[in-house]
Amino acid sequence: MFEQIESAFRSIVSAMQIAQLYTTAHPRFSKFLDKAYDELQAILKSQSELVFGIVNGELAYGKEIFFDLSKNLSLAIMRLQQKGVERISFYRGLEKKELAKFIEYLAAPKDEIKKEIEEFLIFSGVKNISAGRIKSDGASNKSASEDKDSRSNLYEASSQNVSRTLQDVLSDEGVDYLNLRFTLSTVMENLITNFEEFIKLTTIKRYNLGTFTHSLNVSILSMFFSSKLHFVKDDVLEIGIAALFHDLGKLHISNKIINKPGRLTDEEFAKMQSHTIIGAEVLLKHVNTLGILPVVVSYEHHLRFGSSGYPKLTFFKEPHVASMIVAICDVYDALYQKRNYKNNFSPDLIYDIMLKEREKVFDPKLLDKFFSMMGVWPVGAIVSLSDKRIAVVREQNEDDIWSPKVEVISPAEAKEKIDLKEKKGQLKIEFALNPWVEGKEYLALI
Amino acid sequence: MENEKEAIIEEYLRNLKITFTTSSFYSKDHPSFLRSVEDFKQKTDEILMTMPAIRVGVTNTALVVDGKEYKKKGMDELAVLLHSRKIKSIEIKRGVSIEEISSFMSFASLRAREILKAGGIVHALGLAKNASLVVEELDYSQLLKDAGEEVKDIWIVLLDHAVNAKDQKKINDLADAFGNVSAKFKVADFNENKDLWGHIEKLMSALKESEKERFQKFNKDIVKLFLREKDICPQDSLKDLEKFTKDMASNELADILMEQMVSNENFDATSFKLLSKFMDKKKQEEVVSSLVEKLKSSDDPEGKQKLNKRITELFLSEDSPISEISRHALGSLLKNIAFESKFAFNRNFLHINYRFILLNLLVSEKDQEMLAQITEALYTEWEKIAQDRDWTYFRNLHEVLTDKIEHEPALKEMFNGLFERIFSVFEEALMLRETIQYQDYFVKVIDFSAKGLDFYLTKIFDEGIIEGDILRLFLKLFPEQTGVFLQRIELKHTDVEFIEKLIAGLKLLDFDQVVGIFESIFNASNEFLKIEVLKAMGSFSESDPEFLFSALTGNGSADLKIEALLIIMRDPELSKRAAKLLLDIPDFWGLKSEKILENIFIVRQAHLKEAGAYLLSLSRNIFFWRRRVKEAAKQVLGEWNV
Repeated sequence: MFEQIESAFRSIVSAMQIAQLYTTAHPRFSKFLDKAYDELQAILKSQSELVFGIVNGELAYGKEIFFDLSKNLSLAIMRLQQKGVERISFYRGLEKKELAKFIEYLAAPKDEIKKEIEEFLIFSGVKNISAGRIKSDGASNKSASEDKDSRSNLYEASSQNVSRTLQDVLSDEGVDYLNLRFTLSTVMENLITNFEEFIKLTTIKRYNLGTFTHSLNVSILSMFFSSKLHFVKDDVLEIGIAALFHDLGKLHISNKIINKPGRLTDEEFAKMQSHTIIGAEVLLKHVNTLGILPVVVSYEHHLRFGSSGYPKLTFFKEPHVASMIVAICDVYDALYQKRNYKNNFSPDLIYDIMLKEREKVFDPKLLDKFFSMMGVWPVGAIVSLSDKRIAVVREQNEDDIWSPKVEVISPAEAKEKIDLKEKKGQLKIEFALNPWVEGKEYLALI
Repeated sequence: MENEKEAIIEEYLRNLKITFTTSSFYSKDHPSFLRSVEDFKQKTDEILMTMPAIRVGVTNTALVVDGKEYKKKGMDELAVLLHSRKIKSIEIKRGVSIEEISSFMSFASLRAREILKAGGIVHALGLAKNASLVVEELDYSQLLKDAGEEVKDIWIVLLDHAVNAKDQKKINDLADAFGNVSAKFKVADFNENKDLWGHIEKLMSALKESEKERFQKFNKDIVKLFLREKDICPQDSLKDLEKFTKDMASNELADILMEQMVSNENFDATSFKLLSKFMDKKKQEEVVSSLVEKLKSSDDPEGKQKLNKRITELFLSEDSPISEISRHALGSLLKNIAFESKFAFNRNFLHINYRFILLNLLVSEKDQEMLAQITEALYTEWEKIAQDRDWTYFRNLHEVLTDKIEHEPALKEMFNGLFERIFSVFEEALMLRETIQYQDYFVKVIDFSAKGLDFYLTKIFDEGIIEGDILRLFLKLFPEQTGVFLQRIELKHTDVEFIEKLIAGLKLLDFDQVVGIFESIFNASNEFLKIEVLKAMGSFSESDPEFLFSALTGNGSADLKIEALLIIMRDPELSKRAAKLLLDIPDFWGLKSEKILENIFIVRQAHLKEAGAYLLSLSRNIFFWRRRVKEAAKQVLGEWNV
């Protein structure tokens, strides 16, 4: 029975993911819905009620906790919690259309939800499902810090998911494309409404989550950049996925060469330089699931503007716009990662470095567009103003990349929100504080 | 007080206008002219009682006295007239004589062109230094900024002066001004005024060496003038126009095309055809490339779309004047341009980049397992690749595969599928009569058929697709199937149109490949087609003597035999043999006279000089029953002066 219940929940989550990606009108959704319904019906034949609970991010049934399931479906569980679903009860007599309605609610984007789940189910005429919070205190809005924590958790969970996927590809396992797409779709959904928070996560809080953080960061940056260029959602997601794998070749080589005892041969060393080719070749095996874009981006992201980079092409073709987007985001994140307690790669230095390569490495107009989006001082950067106050960057002004909107955090009595564009000529940012050194004391204030 | 003064001046200027107008109607001696001048003198004397002199400045819109503009009551019209005569100001001093006024009026009222031809009014009047009527002349370049009708005449006269005086500065200014002035010109002006052509050629010659930019701009302005009048442009003008276009670089022609397509709604297929007359094939290709580059680099998505539409309408229509190869290349190039915003996610480009990555991977990869994977990826992508008909890609792919097999023969089997796909696309395109870049290359390299024998037989015999390369391919790819081919020919031997087409197609191939087929067609065909076969065989340098002799001596008509003989006659030894065969026929009793007469006709038509001795012999025959043969032989000998 335990396995049956686990399987039923898994099927519900799959149906939810499909609904999120394709909508409930899509034929694929019907298939997944049928499976979930059949499994629930089988359980409800032997008991009149089936109740799931979500406690501390883990799925429970009665006194049993589904540890493995919770780990594998952490994002989905997080999504349920975000929707205010901490308990779900299915009752005998459940109809398929009721289950469809329930899943429709779970799959809907956050900004489209106007009602709490309980209210929604009642108004939709769903009698055989009930869901809601475990502690019902009438409050339907989470506090800001709860939101912040949930985004931080989302980032962590996404990073873990990404790690798993990359490991799967490296070890020639099949890729769970659906799950991957769902992960990035969730990230993107949160990102569009809370980009500043995500960028803060990537600029200040360098989670020590392993090698794959960079891949996730580049993916997030690329997706946001693409959405700012008004690409459609599907294309944004595809770019996000492709960006995840852009350095797969490096990881692939690293695995083999790191484990190799002794010196590298000349050939092996040359291979290290050809990670773009190796990445593309590894990804060729997964074209059926991941599509061709990851191959293209992996191969092209070091080609440079005008194809003067590597690999050297026998047959010339300008890199695709997706590759150029990832190239910019890749370098930006890599430079940001250099910042630590020893090196102060300040944001304006990063801007200068990248600007020098405008037209040589990066498409000039694309680079300009990137910085109009990111600003010279990205969101979350702790800065010193010309009047010696300390502030944190909260929002960009796209038409003035040197003058974002900031919030003064020190001295405490001087706190205020300032749009530096309006104070041009009077007030400006002098320099950014290194969050590992002089900026450390201010981290708690932001 | 001030108003009074202005009123007096205004009245005076009105009189000036009247006198000027009168002067333009009447000659200097006419009473009306004289009276008008006298009146004006009186008015002048009156006004000069209040001032020592009156100075009337001239702009292109008004007369100016003491800083005040006078425009109404016809003052503006007078201003335009005086301005066009290069008059900047007229100063009339106290004591001015009637003769001075009379000379001025008489001359100033001539047509502007005549005044300019005479060297300007100052020069023409020859005014003395202490004259009481002083005219200040305008810098001629000011004139050319006018939009008036006379500006064209002015430009022509000024050009005449500048060219004769070899004044480079004036030539430069006139070239610069032509852009504005050209709107007043018509093609007829050039046809009516041969001097004008001459001057323009001198202007261009003066600009060509040292003023390259000006030269190019002037060139363009002239071409645009002709394009404006495309419908009435006579043949002679086209020859003249060619003088300008021959020096134009391809990117300049592309500039004109682009500008015209974007800004001139009247620029249509006729305009385009006119311009295309001056582009040889090479220039066409260069202009096409230049146009595509300009289109690619444009940042305006809407403008790009509009231009793409115009290019497609003009260049890619069926009756487009540019060559088919250029049209096809342009079509391919246009496909590769993004017409949405530069940063749009273009799926078509994604697939193109992907296939190029696969190609580059093929080049660099040595590992067989990886090569197999890349090959597999190409198979999966093939439908899209084939659809796009990128012949450069197909050729590159073929060359890469061939090169890899050369270094590693074991790869042949692995790549066989790719070769098959390439050849399949090629064979299909050939049968669909598509334009194929590098067609010769593919005909040369294809070494097996992806489509199979039945495909070819159906296309050739059922659908009548018999272009030269198709037959060439058939014979190359199916050398053992010539028998089948001949059988099918026999089945269609009554289809005259088909056989004619087939003969025309076979004519383009190598003799050794087709001689058997020709002979087979010959044997199965009617008289008309037999002759066609012989004519086709005549186009080859080689021949099959035995076949020809059998045709010569067979049952065919005289015309047929003449055709055979004409081919035989290329060889002196064979000619002698033919002569003997035709005329050395023992016939004591004259029973074969008809045959011999026919043969005499044949040698006569073919001018077979080697038959001379035999004809001589026949002409000396004494027997009366062989009189007709004798006469015939004599006649031929007489015609040949033997």
